[in-house]
Amino acid sequence: MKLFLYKYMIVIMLALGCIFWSCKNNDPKPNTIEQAIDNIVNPYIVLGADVGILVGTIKGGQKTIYSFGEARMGSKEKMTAQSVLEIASLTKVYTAVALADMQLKGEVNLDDPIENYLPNTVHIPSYEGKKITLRHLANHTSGFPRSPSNADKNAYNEYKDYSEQKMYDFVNGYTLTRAPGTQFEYSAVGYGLLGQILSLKNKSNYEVMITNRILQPLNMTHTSISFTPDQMKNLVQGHNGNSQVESWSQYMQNIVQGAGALISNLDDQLIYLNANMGLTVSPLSDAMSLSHTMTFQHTGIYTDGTGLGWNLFTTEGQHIIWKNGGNGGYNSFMGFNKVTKTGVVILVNSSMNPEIFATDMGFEILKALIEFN
Amino acid sequence: MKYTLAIGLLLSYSVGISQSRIEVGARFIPQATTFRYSQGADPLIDFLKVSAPYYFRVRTAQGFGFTYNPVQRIKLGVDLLYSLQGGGYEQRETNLNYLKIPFWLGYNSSAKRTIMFTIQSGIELSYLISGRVKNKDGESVNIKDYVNNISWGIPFAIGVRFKVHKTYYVTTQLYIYSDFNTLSKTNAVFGVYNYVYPGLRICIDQNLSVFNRKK
Repeated sequence: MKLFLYKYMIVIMLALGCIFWSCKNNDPKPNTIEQAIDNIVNPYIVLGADVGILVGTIKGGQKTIYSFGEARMGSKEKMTAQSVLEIASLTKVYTAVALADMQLKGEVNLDDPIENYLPNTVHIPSYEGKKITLRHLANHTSGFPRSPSNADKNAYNEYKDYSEQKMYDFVNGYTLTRAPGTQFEYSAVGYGLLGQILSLKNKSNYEVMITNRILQPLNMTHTSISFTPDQMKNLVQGHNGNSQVESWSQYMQNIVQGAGALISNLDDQLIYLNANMGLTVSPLSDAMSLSHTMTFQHTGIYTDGTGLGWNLFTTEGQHIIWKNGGNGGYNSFMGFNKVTKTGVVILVNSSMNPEIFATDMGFEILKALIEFN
Repeated sequence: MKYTLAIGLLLSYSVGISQSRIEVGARFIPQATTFRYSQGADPLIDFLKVSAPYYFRVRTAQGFGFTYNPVQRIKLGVDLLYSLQGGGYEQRETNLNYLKIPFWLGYNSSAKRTIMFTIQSGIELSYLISGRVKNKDGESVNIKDYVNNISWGIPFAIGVRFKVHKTYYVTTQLYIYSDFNTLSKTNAVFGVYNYVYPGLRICIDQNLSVFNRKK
């Protein structure tokens, strides 16, 4: 009897195995854009990758806001369009548009060597006589590395209190290994210097320069570098895993602010997205268009070229202009298609996983916005 | 489906006719379970760091299993387990409970010794029975709509096996498991996988040769 039982228990288990193989994971097709966005974004929350995710979309001129997860792990409190987060490297496309604006106004020339704008004590490296220009800084082809070697790579925030003098020391001691303008290498050094150059040219600091050039003309009143009491009131806690982490931005000095120090809310980012998509006429329309123009072709993840700060990518006939960002505690993404007039902003209050998660989300949402057109 | 069933029946018959090489027993696995992501933090490396952001949760798998030794040192096995897995954090736990069938191919050192070295790997099939996200207050939400019902992965176990009586064996092994298909049902580009590192696989088996002798 026992032998009979064991034998048939084995049969049952093997049959169960066969049933497993035969089962399919049915991917439910969404019926509405709201459902599609929920299907794309919510898995990042329920499967532990992120704490809270804010999504803002623009489609046919209509802005829609979605909030997933929590403002602080365990709080049950939702983020809103007024919640303030670090936008991290999205800052670079503000720096780039400020540069484009100054180019169009004749205040600088994209092909000017950067040594023209920095103090004489700074010796900018060149390669076989070829000099680094403003354009090279803006499209990440200067030859400078991702981050300066004299920053503390083991620190949680390698830019904490990284000073102007430290950056100049790094530049003075750096030797280019290739000619500028020949190879793409994402560089926070380049954007730090670019922010510094634009500040010096405007005889101000980075925050005042970006406020005067971009934030005020677009009426973006909740974007800043300073952690003012008003901003602090709505500041959302950043997380790494389930740990609450310290902001990077408030410790970034002027020399690196152009690379990733802005804090903002979703309402303001949707204003910037709207303006970049050309849905509203602004004094910056031409500068924004210039920043979307291909300046260097190269292949990368979701990338086949770079404008000024923006990544450019053509997929399935759709031309997407986008940028992402990631600081300790925060991730961000902005992407749009000017032809279909669809765009998305994503702000995330956690950074355990890299900005590629926000980028993946962004591209999936852009696809869904077009599918539900 | 018909062919797979037929192969299954044939295999079980061939197993059934050589009862003396069969062991049957209980399985219990306390396991540190978390999620592994296709990008970013690596739970294996993070586990070794003191300040790891990863949050491993200790859950269990339990059930029973069969082992068949076609030759002395090689074994084939299959278990049927109810496995509590998932990840998340103490403030927001993701509980994924599975019915699991791991199929094993293993090696152990000489069966004549009291203590044997054993190593095994195979394929593990999982069927999701329940999926919920629970907050600190105990409130939970069903997330089965976002999670694939079926997943598969590779288990690995290494350890020692003790002969504790004429026909009884106790095995204790380090157990590691990772899914190979994403858990996300509604967003295929999001790579997220069940991950167990480490687990302690405890098996208590009886060799069925005793029944042959009785016959």
